[in-house]
Amino acid sequence: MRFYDIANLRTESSFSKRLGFYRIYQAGIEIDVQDAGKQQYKKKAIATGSAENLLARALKERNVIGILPKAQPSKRLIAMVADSNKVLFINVNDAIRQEGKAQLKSIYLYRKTLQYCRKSKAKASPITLAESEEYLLSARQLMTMAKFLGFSGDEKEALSILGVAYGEKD
Amino acid sequence: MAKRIKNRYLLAQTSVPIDMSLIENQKSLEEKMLKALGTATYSYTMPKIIPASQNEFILRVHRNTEEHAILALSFIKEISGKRLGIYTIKTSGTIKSLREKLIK
Repeated sequence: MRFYDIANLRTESSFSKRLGFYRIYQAGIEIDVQDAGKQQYKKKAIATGSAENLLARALKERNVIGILPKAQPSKRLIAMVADSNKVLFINVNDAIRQEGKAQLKSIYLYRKTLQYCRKSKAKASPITLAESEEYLLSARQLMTMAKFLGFSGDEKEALSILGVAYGEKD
Repeated sequence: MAKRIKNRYLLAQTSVPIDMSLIENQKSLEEKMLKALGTATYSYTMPKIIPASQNEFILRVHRNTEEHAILALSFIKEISGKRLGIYTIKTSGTIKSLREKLIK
């Protein structure tokens, strides 16, 4: 099974493979990440944003995949994601980057968000969107983090969904 | 009759070179792990650091506690005042198989 991640930095192919990923996409360069407020999207773009209506509307476009930039336990948004039958990528960087009470609160919000995903049968997958190497995780760590935060189903499947959703063939 | 303690070994790589053979670095990492895991889980995990190379070290933990150790390493972003990321590359029941995975 192949694992993928999206980060905000460029990584060498050998380094990505050492971490256990088949590929780490660079957001903005290898993957078009656009604000969910735009009216028109490039083919296979990924829309990001916290505004529920905008993200849900973006997901209705045929070739657009959605990223949630932080934990957002909104039943309405998750229900719309479940209806679109697409995968929602959730940025788990807050759980890694923050410390103390802010970190505990972020973890609580992630768990709540993923609890709603499980109940609504919406598909979700974790990504790091790391700004620097310090905030990258290996595939093994991201799988463990996914299980800890409550991503549904098999955690390996959650990670491998990215490449398939974006159109990379096995 | 006392049961033999069974261990698991994790191969970890750091984003910047850090000498894990230095006692101060080992103590700093142990303190961070204690903070991340809490007293009870830390005692059960019984982590021990085995230096390997400039960028890598092996962490020995009690069996069935690998996930706790992997999570703790994910949360640690600083050792002895140096900002870094720690990546868990592989887990194994023996050190020998991890030594084969070290960067040459």
